[in-house]
Amino acid sequence: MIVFESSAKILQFLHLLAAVTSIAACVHLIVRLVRSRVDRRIYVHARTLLVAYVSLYGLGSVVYPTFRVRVRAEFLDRAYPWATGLFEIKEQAATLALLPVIGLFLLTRPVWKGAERPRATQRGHAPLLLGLSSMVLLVLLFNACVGWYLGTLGSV
Amino acid sequence: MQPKDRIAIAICAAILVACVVHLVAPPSFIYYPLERSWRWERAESGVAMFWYGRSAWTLAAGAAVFGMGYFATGRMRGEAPAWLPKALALLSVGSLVLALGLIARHEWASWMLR
Repeated sequence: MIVFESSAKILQFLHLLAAVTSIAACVHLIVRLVRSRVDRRIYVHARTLLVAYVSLYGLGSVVYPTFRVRVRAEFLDRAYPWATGLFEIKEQAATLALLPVIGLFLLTRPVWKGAERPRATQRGHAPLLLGLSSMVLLVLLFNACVGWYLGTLGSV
Repeated sequence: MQPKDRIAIAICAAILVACVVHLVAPPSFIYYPLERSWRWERAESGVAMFWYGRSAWTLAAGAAVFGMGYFATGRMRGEAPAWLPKALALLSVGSLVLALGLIARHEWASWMLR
Protein backbone atom coordinates (compact mmCIF):
# COMPACT_ATOMS: atom_id res chain seq x y z
CA MET A 1 0.00 0.00 0.00
CA ILE A 2 1.36 3.38 -1.01
CA VAL A 3 1.07 6.26 1.41
CA PHE A 4 -2.09 8.41 0.78
CA GLU A 5 -3.10 6.21 -2.20
CA SER A 6 -6.69 5.84 -0.95
CA SER A 7 -7.21 9.62 -0.91
CA ALA A 8 -5.08 10.42 -3.97
CA LYS A 9 -8.00 11.51 -6.18
CA ILE A 10 -9.41 14.08 -3.76
CA LEU A 11 -5.89 15.36 -3.01
CA GLN A 12 -5.26 15.64 -6.77
CA PHE A 13 -8.45 17.70 -7.14
CA LEU A 14 -7.40 20.01 -4.27
CA HIS A 15 -3.99 20.28 -5.98
CA LEU A 16 -5.81 21.49 -9.12
CA LEU A 17 -7.81 24.08 -7.11
CA ALA A 18 -4.61 25.36 -5.49
CA ALA A 19 -2.99 25.65 -8.94
CA VAL A 20 -5.91 27.71 -10.31
CA THR A 21 -5.81 29.98 -7.23
CA SER A 22 -2.03 30.42 -7.53
CA ILE A 23 -2.26 31.40 -11.20
CA ALA A 24 -5.11 33.84 -10.51
CA ALA A 25 -3.23 35.45 -7.59
CA CYS A 26 -0.02 35.73 -9.62
CA VAL A 27 -1.80 37.33 -12.61
CA HIS A 28 -3.53 39.81 -10.29
CA LEU A 29 -0.20 40.58 -8.61
CA ILE A 30 1.50 41.32 -11.93
CA VAL A 31 -1.40 43.49 -13.14
CA ARG A 32 -1.31 45.51 -9.89
CA LEU A 33 2.48 45.90 -10.11
CA VAL A 34 2.26 47.15 -13.70
CA ARG A 35 -0.64 49.56 -13.00
CA SER A 36 0.53 50.99 -9.68
CA ARG A 37 3.68 50.36 -7.74
CA VAL A 38 2.23 51.59 -4.46
CA ASP A 39 -0.97 49.69 -3.80
CA ARG A 40 -1.84 47.80 -0.63
CA ARG A 41 -3.71 45.17 -2.64
CA ILE A 42 -0.32 44.04 -3.99
CA TYR A 43 0.33 42.56 -0.57
CA VAL A 44 -3.08 40.86 -0.53
CA HIS A 45 -2.28 39.13 -3.84
CA ALA A 46 1.24 38.19 -2.72
CA ARG A 47 -0.15 36.71 0.50
CA THR A 48 -2.84 34.80 -1.43
CA LEU A 49 -0.15 33.53 -3.80
CA LEU A 50 1.97 32.35 -0.86
CA VAL A 51 -0.90 30.45 0.81
CA ALA A 52 -2.10 28.93 -2.49
CA TYR A 53 1.40 28.00 -3.68
CA VAL A 54 2.43 26.40 -0.37
CA SER A 55 -0.84 24.40 -0.45
CA LEU A 56 -0.19 23.46 -4.08
CA TYR A 57 3.36 22.35 -3.27
CA GLY A 58 2.32 20.43 -0.15
CA LEU A 59 -0.55 18.63 -1.88
CA GLY A 60 1.70 17.75 -4.83
CA SER A 61 4.26 16.29 -2.40
CA VAL A 62 1.59 14.16 -0.76
CA VAL A 63 0.14 12.81 -4.05
CA TYR A 64 3.57 12.24 -5.59
CA PRO A 65 4.28 8.68 -4.20
CA THR A 66 1.03 7.37 -5.73
CA PHE A 67 1.83 9.08 -9.05
CA ARG A 68 5.42 7.79 -8.92
CA VAL A 69 4.30 4.15 -8.65
CA ARG A 70 0.89 3.91 -10.34
CA VAL A 71 1.43 6.31 -13.24
CA ARG A 72 5.11 6.94 -13.77
CA ALA A 73 6.72 3.56 -12.97
CA GLU A 74 3.88 1.38 -14.28
CA PHE A 75 3.04 3.40 -17.40
CA LEU A 76 4.92 6.58 -18.37
CA ASP A 77 8.52 5.32 -17.99
CA ARG A 78 7.79 2.46 -20.42
CA ALA A 79 5.33 3.96 -22.89
CA TYR A 80 6.08 7.73 -22.81
CA PRO A 81 9.58 8.43 -21.45
CA TRP A 82 9.44 12.01 -22.79
CA ALA A 83 6.38 12.59 -20.56
CA THR A 84 8.49 11.50 -17.57
CA GLY A 85 11.07 14.08 -18.65
CA LEU A 86 8.37 16.77 -18.72
CA PHE A 87 7.23 15.74 -15.25
CA GLU A 88 10.80 15.88 -13.91
CA ILE A 89 11.14 19.47 -15.18
CA LYS A 90 7.74 20.32 -13.62
CA GLU A 91 8.59 19.04 -10.15
CA GLN A 92 12.02 20.70 -10.04
CA ALA A 93 10.66 24.00 -11.34
CA ALA A 94 8.02 23.87 -8.58
CA THR A 95 10.75 23.68 -5.91
CA LEU A 96 12.78 26.52 -7.44
CA ALA A 97 9.68 28.76 -7.69
CA LEU A 98 8.92 28.42 -3.96
CA LEU A 99 11.68 30.84 -2.90
CA PRO A 100 10.52 33.67 -5.22
CA VAL A 101 6.96 33.21 -3.89
CA ILE A 102 8.22 33.65 -0.31
CA GLY A 103 10.36 36.59 -1.47
CA LEU A 104 7.35 38.31 -3.07
CA PHE A 105 5.42 37.95 0.19
CA LEU A 106 8.25 39.41 2.29
CA LEU A 107 9.00 42.26 -0.12
CA THR A 108 5.39 43.42 -0.42
CA ARG A 109 4.61 43.17 3.31
CA PRO A 110 3.69 46.64 4.67
CA VAL A 111 6.06 48.03 7.29
CA TRP A 112 4.51 49.46 10.47
CA LYS A 113 6.24 52.56 11.81
CA GLY A 114 4.99 53.13 15.36
CA ALA A 115 1.33 54.18 15.35
CA GLU A 116 1.40 55.21 11.67
CA ARG A 117 -0.55 53.34 9.03
CA PRO A 118 1.59 50.75 7.26
CA ARG A 119 3.23 52.18 4.18
CA ALA A 120 3.46 50.29 0.94
CA THR A 121 7.21 50.13 0.54
CA GLN A 122 7.49 48.13 -2.65
CA ARG A 123 8.16 51.23 -4.78
CA GLY A 124 11.95 50.84 -5.01
CA HIS A 125 11.95 47.15 -5.78
CA ALA A 126 9.50 47.12 -8.69
CA PRO A 127 11.98 45.48 -11.14
CA LEU A 128 12.68 42.67 -8.67
CA LEU A 129 8.99 42.18 -7.87
CA LEU A 130 8.06 42.13 -11.56
CA GLY A 131 10.92 39.79 -12.43
CA LEU A 132 10.14 37.31 -9.65
CA SER A 133 6.38 37.36 -10.23
CA SER A 134 6.90 36.84 -13.99
CA MET A 135 9.14 33.84 -13.32
CA VAL A 136 6.60 32.37 -10.89
CA LEU A 137 3.80 32.86 -13.44
CA LEU A 138 5.84 31.18 -16.19
CA VAL A 139 6.55 28.20 -13.93
CA LEU A 140 2.89 28.00 -12.86
CA LEU A 141 1.65 28.09 -16.47
CA PHE A 142 4.23 25.51 -17.63
CA ASN A 143 3.40 23.23 -14.71
CA ALA A 144 -0.36 23.61 -15.26
CA CYS A 145 0.00 22.71 -18.96
CA VAL A 146 2.27 19.73 -18.20
CA GLY A 147 0.03 18.58 -15.34
CA TRP A 148 -3.07 18.77 -17.51
CA TYR A 149 -1.38 16.98 -20.42
CA LEU A 150 0.02 14.20 -18.21
CA GLY A 151 -3.48 13.80 -16.80
CA THR A 152 -4.74 13.00 -20.30
CA LEU A 153 -2.12 10.21 -20.57
CA GLY A 154 -2.71 8.71 -17.13
CA SER A 155 -3.62 9.86 -13.64
CA VAL A 156 -3.68 8.64 -10.02
CA MET B 1 20.06 50.09 5.15
CA GLN B 2 16.25 49.83 4.92
CA PRO B 3 14.65 46.48 5.93
CA LYS B 4 13.17 46.03 2.42
CA ASP B 5 16.61 46.48 0.83
CA ARG B 6 18.02 43.90 3.23
CA ILE B 7 15.20 41.48 2.40
CA ALA B 8 15.75 42.06 -1.34
CA ILE B 9 19.49 41.35 -1.09
CA ALA B 10 18.92 38.30 1.14
CA ILE B 11 16.22 36.79 -1.08
CA CYS B 12 18.35 37.22 -4.22
CA ALA B 13 21.33 35.56 -2.53
CA ALA B 14 19.02 32.77 -1.32
CA ILE B 15 17.64 32.17 -4.85
CA LEU B 16 21.14 32.11 -6.34
CA VAL B 17 22.50 29.62 -3.77
CA ALA B 18 19.34 27.48 -3.90
CA CYS B 19 19.70 27.20 -7.69
CA VAL B 20 23.35 26.11 -7.34
CA VAL B 21 22.55 23.55 -4.62
CA HIS B 22 19.63 22.19 -6.66
CA LEU B 23 21.86 21.70 -9.70
CA VAL B 24 24.67 20.12 -7.65
CA ALA B 25 22.12 17.71 -6.05
CA PRO B 26 24.14 16.51 -3.03
CA PRO B 27 23.48 13.02 -1.60
CA SER B 28 20.34 12.92 0.52
CA PHE B 29 17.51 10.77 1.81
CA ILE B 30 15.75 8.87 -0.96
CA TYR B 31 12.17 7.68 -0.47
CA TYR B 32 11.13 4.21 -1.64
CA PRO B 33 7.32 4.39 -1.96
CA LEU B 34 6.71 0.63 -2.37
CA GLU B 35 8.72 -0.16 0.78
CA ARG B 36 7.64 3.07 2.52
CA SER B 37 11.22 3.58 3.69
CA TRP B 38 13.91 6.27 3.53
CA ARG B 39 17.57 5.60 2.76
CA TRP B 40 20.60 7.90 2.64
CA GLU B 41 22.07 7.24 -0.82
CA ARG B 42 24.00 8.94 -3.58
CA ALA B 43 21.75 7.74 -6.43
CA GLU B 44 18.28 6.28 -6.64
CA SER B 45 17.67 2.72 -7.80
CA GLY B 46 14.37 1.12 -8.83
CA VAL B 47 11.14 2.91 -7.94
CA ALA B 48 12.68 5.65 -5.79
CA MET B 49 12.09 9.34 -5.15
CA PHE B 50 15.08 11.64 -4.93
CA TRP B 51 12.93 14.76 -5.22
CA TYR B 52 12.07 15.08 -1.50
CA GLY B 53 15.71 15.04 -0.38
CA ARG B 54 16.86 17.28 -3.22
CA SER B 55 14.09 19.81 -2.53
CA ALA B 56 14.90 19.75 1.19
CA TRP B 57 18.55 20.59 0.43
CA THR B 58 17.52 23.37 -1.95
CA LEU B 59 15.04 24.98 0.45
CA ALA B 60 17.29 24.56 3.50
CA ALA B 61 20.20 26.19 1.66
CA GLY B 62 17.93 29.04 0.54
CA ALA B 63 16.60 29.57 4.08
CA ALA B 64 20.10 29.53 5.60
CA VAL B 65 21.48 32.01 3.07
CA PHE B 66 18.42 34.26 3.50
CA GLY B 67 18.97 34.36 7.26
CA MET B 68 22.69 35.02 6.96
CA GLY B 69 22.16 37.65 4.24
CA TYR B 70 19.51 39.49 6.23
CA PHE B 71 21.61 39.69 9.38
CA ALA B 72 24.86 40.47 7.51
CA THR B 73 23.26 43.44 5.70
CA GLY B 74 22.03 44.78 9.07
CA ARG B 75 25.54 46.04 9.74
CA MET B 76 25.65 48.10 6.54
CA ARG B 77 25.16 51.83 6.96
CA GLY B 78 23.58 54.34 4.57
CA GLU B 79 21.07 54.02 1.72
CA ALA B 80 21.21 51.28 -0.88
CA PRO B 81 22.61 52.43 -4.25
CA ALA B 82 20.08 53.32 -6.98
CA TRP B 83 21.21 50.52 -9.29
CA LEU B 84 20.63 47.84 -6.66
CA PRO B 85 16.96 46.93 -7.47
CA LYS B 86 17.72 46.34 -11.17
CA ALA B 87 20.91 44.41 -10.40
CA LEU B 88 19.07 42.18 -7.92
CA ALA B 89 16.25 41.57 -10.39
CA LEU B 90 18.76 40.61 -13.08
CA LEU B 91 20.69 38.32 -10.74
CA SER B 92 17.71 36.44 -9.33
CA VAL B 93 15.78 36.08 -12.61
CA GLY B 94 19.00 35.18 -14.44
CA SER B 95 19.89 32.44 -11.97
CA LEU B 96 16.35 31.00 -12.14
CA VAL B 97 16.33 31.03 -15.96
CA LEU B 98 19.77 29.42 -16.11
CA ALA B 99 18.90 26.74 -13.56
CA LEU B 100 15.62 25.87 -15.29
CA GLY B 101 17.38 25.79 -18.66
CA LEU B 102 20.04 23.39 -17.36
CA ILE B 103 17.37 21.19 -15.76
CA ALA B 104 15.42 21.09 -19.05
CA ARG B 105 18.59 20.20 -20.98
CA HIS B 106 19.42 17.40 -18.52
CA GLU B 107 15.91 15.93 -18.65
CA TRP B 108 15.88 16.23 -22.44
CA ALA B 109 19.02 14.12 -22.63
CA SER B 110 17.85 11.68 -19.93
CA TRP B 111 14.27 11.00 -20.99
CA MET B 112 13.15 12.73 -24.16
CA LEU B 113 15.69 11.21 -26.55
CA ARG B 114 14.84 7.61 -25.56
